Amino acid sequence: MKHRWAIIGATIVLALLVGTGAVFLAMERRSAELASREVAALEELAMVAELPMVAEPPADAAAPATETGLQGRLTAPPSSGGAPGDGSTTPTTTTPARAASTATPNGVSPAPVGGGVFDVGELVFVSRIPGDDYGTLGAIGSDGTRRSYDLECARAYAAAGVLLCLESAGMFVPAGTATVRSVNDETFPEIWQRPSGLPSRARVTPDGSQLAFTGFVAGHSYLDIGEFSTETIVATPTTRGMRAEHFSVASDEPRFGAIDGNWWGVSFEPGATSALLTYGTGPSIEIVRADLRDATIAPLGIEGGCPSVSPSGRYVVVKRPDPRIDAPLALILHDLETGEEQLLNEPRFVDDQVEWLDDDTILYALPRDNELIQPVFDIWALDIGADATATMVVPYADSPAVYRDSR
Amino acid sequence: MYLATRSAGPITDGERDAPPSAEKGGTDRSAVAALGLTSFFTDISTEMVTAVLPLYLVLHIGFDVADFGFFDGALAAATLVLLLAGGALADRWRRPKPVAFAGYAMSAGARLGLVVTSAPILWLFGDRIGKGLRVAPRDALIAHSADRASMASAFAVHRILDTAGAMLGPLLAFVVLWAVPGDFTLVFTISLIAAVVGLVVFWVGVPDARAEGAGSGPRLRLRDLEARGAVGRLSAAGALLGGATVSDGILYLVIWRTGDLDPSMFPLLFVGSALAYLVVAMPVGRLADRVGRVRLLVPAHIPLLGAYLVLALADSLTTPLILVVLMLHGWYFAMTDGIYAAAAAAITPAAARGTGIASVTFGVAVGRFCASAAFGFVWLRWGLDTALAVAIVGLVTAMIAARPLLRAAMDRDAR
Repeated sequence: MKHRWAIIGATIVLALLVGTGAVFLAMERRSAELASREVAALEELAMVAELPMVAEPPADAAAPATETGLQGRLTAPPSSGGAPGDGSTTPTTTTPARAASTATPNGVSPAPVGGGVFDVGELVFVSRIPGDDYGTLGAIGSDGTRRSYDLECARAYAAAGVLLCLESAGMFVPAGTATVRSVNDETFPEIWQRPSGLPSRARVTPDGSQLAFTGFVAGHSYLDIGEFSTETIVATPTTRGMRAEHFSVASDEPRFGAIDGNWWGVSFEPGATSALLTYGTGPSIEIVRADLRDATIAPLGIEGGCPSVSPSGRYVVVKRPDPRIDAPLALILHDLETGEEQLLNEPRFVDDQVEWLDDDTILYALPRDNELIQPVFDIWALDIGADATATMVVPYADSPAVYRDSR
Repeated sequence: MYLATRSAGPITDGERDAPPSAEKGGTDRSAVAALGLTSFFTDISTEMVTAVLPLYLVLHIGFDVADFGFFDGALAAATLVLLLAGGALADRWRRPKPVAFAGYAMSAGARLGLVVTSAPILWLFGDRIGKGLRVAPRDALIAHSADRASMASAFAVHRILDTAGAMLGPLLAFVVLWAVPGDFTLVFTISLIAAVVGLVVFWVGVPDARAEGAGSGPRLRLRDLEARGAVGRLSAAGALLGGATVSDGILYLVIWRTGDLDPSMFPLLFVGSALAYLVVAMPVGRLADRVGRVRLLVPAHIPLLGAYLVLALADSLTTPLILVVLMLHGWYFAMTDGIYAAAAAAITPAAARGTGIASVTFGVAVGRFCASAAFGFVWLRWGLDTALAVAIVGLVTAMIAARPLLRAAMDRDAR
């Protein structure tokens, strides 16, 4: 035992070497694994690019692809100046109470009409190609070419010269940031930023006057196991906005005072003066309407969550459990005028707020694999017709946003 | 060799019941350092897993977290029982080293089980049982390695290394997960390596107490010794004082709820307390050796009282006030953590030290457990202000009531 400290010293050095070696080996193995997944993804994308970028080949060869093909609809300029489909009933000049003025906190303004990096009708998304580009902003143009930008967003939405980009603060805390950026150029200059929860939902109105985002502030993290808590902010490009829970609720029903009440998933209605969003307490989840002019909320009596209003404002797609579907939540099309409802033909679990490509088609992301690291998502399209089936339109992509500009 | 200079002869009848003040030869610094390093590596290993386990359970196992909490609580109780068993076994076999080694080996085996089978239950069992088993024999080994005049200093060295390992563990775990996201098996592997290093350091660096005279001579049982009364009353005082002490987890929760603190800052509260602890642990150990370990135990709760008062009286808990609370809390830990063990060791004859240390540690742990449960109950039922007021009144009462209980131990400590 004369040399006991020599033995101890040697053991510690050996352990340091073995430990460091193990970490480096694991890093090597991980990057090799990601590299091979990246190669596979790029090969698959190259194959797709050789096909016409139309999800459903036109049944009638005479019909021009740009009219009936999905890609054509994706990039077709919107009629009557953008989202409000029936412009006759929706005054496009309506200015909400907290509308954007031209002055922004740090002198950066939204990109002007017709300017900026995105064209109207393009699909903006977050890349899910494994590798270095994973989690960066991307867009797909009218010719089907895929562009990638040097900006990381866990979730993004863009409209009318404004980009809303949600980022996660790290893997151990339920926190993140929401950044409002101008799409003026590919540097996406920052207009403002505020802390948020883990990125969940993001929306910008077609006129760029209002935006909203939701983050998980508890749950989804080891810090608050068993809890579920969301924070939803409604803001404008010039103001950092207010929390949905500070809206006054025009209802005496006791559930709106519940201590475990949560608001999430805003979807603006045409005109940008009102929005639908979700209120949940305990097992009850419902769609409510927020009036953005006086910051009030009224119940609508629609069961379900995570609404998405169609460009015309007539329909809303909500998510709710349905016995006809095995997945925990089904997609339900709700007619806001008649109250009629229709189950959409998507048996898989859509953990996404759906986006409207146009008044007939919705877009949403679905996971492809169960990878823990850099899981792959694809964007699917589904016609709202009764017997439509979903088709994959953009592989290796997530967080679909159809770029609109009604200014 | 150093150990040979120690008296290895049988303890005579006259000195068998005396406090072990007759030991000569000063502190075996090498053994204390080895014991400290063992705890350093073992704590790195444990805290690496503890920090990521909830995340791992949720992401990979789909384990019901309520079940996990139940198991955790049940095993905490089992740990306390094993604490007494470990101390008794070390005394009965007169060899604390193999008992402590078995405890460390069980914890290391639990890591191996986690790497191979990914079963968290196995980890919990192995780790907690091993921890319960090793605490008293390990502290007995520290006491055997230390000169009686520097008992508390030796414990301070050990606890400093222990705390440093506990701080480093989570950091290391997150560095590993940052380098290779999601690779929990790698975290468990590194944890296993650290545990094995701890085992080697312990086996190679710590001399067996048998060579030091502690284990030789007639078998002594604490209940047959005159020291019994003093040890029993010290344990009772520990339970009383511990019974007015909320756990650090609850204290941080109070800080978090009272102050406007970002949830991501929560883990930093532990770092704050630990830093304050590390800074004063050594001077406090020296002070305890000078004025008497037992005598320091009641004043040790003054910083804690201060922390309670700040929390109760502050209108708004600003960052400087949070730092003051954390500092006071760290000081309180420095004045109790190793000091209780040093006090128990100083008043118990060497051959019964395992039992003596286990008894006092058990008393304090049971007291603290009850205090946290009671505080939580009052907090939920009548609010935080009431809970803090009860804690303050309880602590002052315990400090007054503990004094007479400590008198016998104080006399033996000073002998």
